[in-house]
This record gives sequence, C-alpha cells and structure tokens, in this order.
Amino acid sequence: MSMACFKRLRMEIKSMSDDPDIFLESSESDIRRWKAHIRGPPGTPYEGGVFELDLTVGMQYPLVPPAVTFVTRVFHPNVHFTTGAICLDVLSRAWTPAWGLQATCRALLALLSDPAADSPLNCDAGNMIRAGDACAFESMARMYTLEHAARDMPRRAGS
Amino acid sequence: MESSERDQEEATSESAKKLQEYEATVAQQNAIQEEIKKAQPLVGKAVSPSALSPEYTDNVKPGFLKGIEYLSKRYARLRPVRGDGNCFYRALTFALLENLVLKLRSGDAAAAQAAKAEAQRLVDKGKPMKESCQTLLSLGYEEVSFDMFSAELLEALEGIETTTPESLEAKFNEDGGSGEYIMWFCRLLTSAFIKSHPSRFESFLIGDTVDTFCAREVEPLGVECEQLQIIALCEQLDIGVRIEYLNGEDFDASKGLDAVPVNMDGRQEAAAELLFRPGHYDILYTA
Repeated sequence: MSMACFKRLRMEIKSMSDDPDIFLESSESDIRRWKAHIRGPPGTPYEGGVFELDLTVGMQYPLVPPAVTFVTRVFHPNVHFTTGAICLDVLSRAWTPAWGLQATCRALLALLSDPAADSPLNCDAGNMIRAGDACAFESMARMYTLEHAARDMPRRAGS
Repeated sequence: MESSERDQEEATSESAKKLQEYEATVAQQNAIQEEIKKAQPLVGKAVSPSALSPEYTDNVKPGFLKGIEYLSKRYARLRPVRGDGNCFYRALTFALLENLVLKLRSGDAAAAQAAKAEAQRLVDKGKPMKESCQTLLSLGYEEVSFDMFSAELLEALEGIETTTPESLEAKFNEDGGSGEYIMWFCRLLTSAFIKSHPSRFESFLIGDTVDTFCAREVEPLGVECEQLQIIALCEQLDIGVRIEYLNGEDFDASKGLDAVPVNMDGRQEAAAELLFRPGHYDILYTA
C-alpha cells in the first residue's frame, strides 16, 4: 500500500471538476506538492482576493490529511498571520479519506466565509469578532486582502 | 503600509503564543498516538483471556477480575487490537475475515462451503460491495473517494480461499496498509447505512442531522464508536455480532456476563465475537 497515495492522487487529478473558485496544480517534479489558488468568497472581506495555498501530501494520504498553509497573507481568526498555519478540524482530527484536495480547498473557502472566533490562531481577528466589532474585523481583513491578495486567478495552460 | 504591518506583527505576539499552544497540543496528540503505535500492534497475537488480569489487580470494581475469570472459562482466546479509536471497526473486519479463513481451512467440508458462500454473498449480491457502492454514489460520495478502499475489501473477500491466518495478520498489521483501508471502508459503510435510514437514527442524534453526525462521529479515523454505529454496520453488512461487556460491575458468576447480540435475529452464528471494556474492543474466540 506504500504507493497508495500516488494512485489516489492520480485518480483525483482525473476526476477533478472545473471549479471557477479553485485552481489546483501539482509541482512538476513532485506529485505530492501542490499549489492552490482560491477565490475570496463574495460578500466576505476576502472578496476580490485570490489566495495561494501550499498543500503537501504525506505518504499515508488519504488516511491522513494533507498539510495545508496559506502562502498569501490573510487576516482571519483561524489562520496564523505570519506563518499561514491553519486551525481547521477537517485538516486534523475530523479529516476523512472521503475528502480529496479539491474538497480540502472547498473547506478552506467555507472557512473564509465562516470564521470560528473561539479557536483563534490570530487573536486580534478573533478578539474583534468576539467583541462584536464586525466592522473593525472586516475593514482589517479587507485591507489585507487588497494589499496582499488582489490578483487574478491563474489560467490553466491552453485554456 | 509597512508601518501598519509592523503594528500588526507586534500585535500578533499573542497569536504567536496561540500558535505555539496549538502546535504543542498537536505534538502531544501525535506523541500519544506514537506511543500507542509502539506499544500495541494493530492486531496482536491471540492470548488467554486471563492475560487481562494484571491490568485489573488493583481495580476497585469487583467485576473486572471476576469477569476475566468467567471469560477465561467461556472463551479459549482473546486477540488484543490497537486502542486508537478504530478498535471496533478493526476488530470486526479482522474477525469477520479470519472466521471465514479458519472455516475454509478447518477440514470440515460443510463449514468450508458455508464460508465460501458467505464470502461470495458479501462480494456479490450482498449489501456490502456492489449494493453498498451504489448506495454511496447515490448519497453523493464520489467514486474516487472510496474506490481504493472498497477495492481492498473486495480483494480480501475474493482472495479468501488463498488467505492464511498469518497472511491476514500481516495484512492488518501494516500501518497505513490494506487492513487500515478495509477498516476505514467499514466506517463508510456505517455512514451509508445511517444516511440511507435517517428516520431510524435521527431521534437519537441530539442536535445533529445524519450528515453532520456521520461527518463527525463515523467517518474520521480515530473516532470511537457507540452502539448506534455498531448496529448500522452490522445491518449494512447483513451480519450479526456478539459482544461481551466487561465494565467492572458485579454479576452473577453462575449466569455469566451478558453477551449482547447485535443483529442476531434469525442467525445461529455471529460473524465476530467481541469483548468490550470501557473505551475498547478486542476479539474473542470460543475455540
């Protein structure tokens, strides 16, 4: 079963559906290293931004989740502001092998839409939301979106 | 922009602490899992049930040692299974397959024939494989998400006649190996049954839908199961199991512990005999 992760990744590549909000691309030299770009969801302070993620798939994938971090700086209670580390249950204990890389990206889009202020890796963001100051949180998040994430989704080669 | 960023960097020292705490928690959880891995094989060697006694010599509850004494008379052997939260699913799948292997190799032609038929039922017209995969697809699971897992169970069942008890043990003892794939597929089969019978289960799920319950309490690896999941898996596989409960409560030794049948109506034989101790399942053998 040691090759299982490669087999699974090849199957995922074949079955990836077109999603205008997610661009996933594996490294040319290593199928276990991936880059994703996800589009900030409309109606959130991340709207208009495109966020880059780094995904690394371990040999025991899909029994264990991929390691995912934000490369693009983002102001969000569950994302560490400088390291990009993400606190999300489905990337740790709640992971299930039924998920794939695309589903993982969808979970991160959901996280951008629905921050959980009670398990913050970014305390400032968490505190603003917990204090009920949505306005402050949103303006900070929007500012960083404009500053770091204002770009277009990458285009797939040949399309 | 740069100065605002610096303010933000300073303001995140609290966040740095949070990150450290978070990483420490993750590291600690991993360390516990590593300890368990080192100390317990996924599927251990069968021993006498009395081998459990040392764990309970100082236990204040009278039922443990007394119960172990009873189990030692009633059962020939006990096979310990790694206690990583997956023990029920692993114990059940291993015992189910091992029982088939043992019957096929027993020299008893009728038993071998029955085992062959049972393996075929599970592969073929029975619920687990073809029908279960259809159920999963109709529930919205993508084939790519379970294909490799169902393939492992299918392969184990189709190859049952050439399987030895030793090769089965080896299969189940590879970390991240075939046995783990089969074990997780049984979690998915559990989900499939619960999700396709929502009216039967929803009243037991406080504040949950069948979907949220399965996403949290069934499908993730390492999440322990309760009675509800056991019933669901047995019904999905169309098998019965018997579970001895050793919980430390005193009992009438002349009557023995209560071996609880699950989905045994109309069946003579259990696909697996299991032992429950608080938080853990192991496999029992009458012979």
